[in-house]
Amino acid sequence: MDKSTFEQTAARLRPLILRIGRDFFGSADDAEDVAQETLLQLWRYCEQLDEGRNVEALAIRVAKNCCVNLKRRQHLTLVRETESMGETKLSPHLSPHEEVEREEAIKALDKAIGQLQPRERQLFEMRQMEGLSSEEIAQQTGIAKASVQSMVAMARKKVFNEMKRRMNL
Amino acid sequence: MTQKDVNQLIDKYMEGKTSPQEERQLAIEVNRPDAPAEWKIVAEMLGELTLGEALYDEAMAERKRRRIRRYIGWGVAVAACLMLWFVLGKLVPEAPQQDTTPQIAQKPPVAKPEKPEEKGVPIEVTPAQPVMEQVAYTHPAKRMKRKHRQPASSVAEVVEAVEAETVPELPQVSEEELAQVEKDYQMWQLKQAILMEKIEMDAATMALNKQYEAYLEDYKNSIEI
Repeated sequence: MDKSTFEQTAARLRPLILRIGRDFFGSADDAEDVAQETLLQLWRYCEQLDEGRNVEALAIRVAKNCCVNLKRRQHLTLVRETESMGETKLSPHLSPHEEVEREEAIKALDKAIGQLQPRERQLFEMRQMEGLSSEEIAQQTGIAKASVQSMVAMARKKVFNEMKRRMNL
Repeated sequence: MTQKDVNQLIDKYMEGKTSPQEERQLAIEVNRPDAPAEWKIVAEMLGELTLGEALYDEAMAERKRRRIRRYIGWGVAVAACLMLWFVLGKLVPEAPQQDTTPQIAQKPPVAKPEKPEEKGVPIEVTPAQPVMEQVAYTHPAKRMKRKHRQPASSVAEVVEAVEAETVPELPQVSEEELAQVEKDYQMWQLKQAILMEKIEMDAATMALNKQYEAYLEDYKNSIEI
């Protein structure tokens, strides 16, 4: 997707992202921050977006992720909120050692994905990035649902084993 | 979720059979600080976006649950107030209603004939002024002392109190006895009149006697001089 096409898409996506931010924060200012950050991340990624991809689903996921990250930055302690919600204990801040491990894991993931077949890679990213279900992927790609599931399973096993090897686990 | 449940969900994920919702749930589980090393790989594979979406959805669901709990709390409070009001209303007896409004005869809607005299239809007369309720008395009530009187709350209670009083019945008197009493009364009145005249005459006589004695005394004095 080129820059001019993205500008048109961003104008269409902006109200949707603002609504997600307003629902989460309840304020127009925070929703504006979410919209700006979401569109910036999509702008960085736009060259990798294909024309046929579901940009709206990706924008929704990125916007929700931005909401959570913004809340972390506002020191509203995600741990306290998630613990009170579902007794989950997540660490909002990583130590330097954990940061290095995290960067290595991301590099290993990128390399593992890079070794996939093009079709496998496409389906893997549609599940991972856009959060689409097997039915939705089957509708968009025209592949049977069972085939989608088997190809996604094969791609995930390859990535898992490659990451396990690269991370010495 | 137990560790076994998470492992089963990971197996399902690796087979590509998990739904997006199950993957969001799995993202939360495998991102715990105490998660095993293999779970970290799955966490990276699921990606940050899945985790962010999972946290977002869980936060929104928790807010919805809180809102529902708040509504339920308010509902329970309102129901408790209504129940308390109902119970207190049953326990406390109702105060007697004070009839403060003047009783005014309501004029019933009567179809007025054009010329009732000619047709011979009796005219129903309705009072134009406010009137009190008509009460049928059998005997005049004995006047009670003020200290024994009780404040009447309404006209109906006054009527009940008057009717409840027991008045001794008068003895039966015949007409002859009544005529005799009347005659005696007239005689008594006549005697009284005669007595009054006699008294007046005595007074006049005494006054004349005093006047005569005074004249006689003046005459004696004039002779002595």
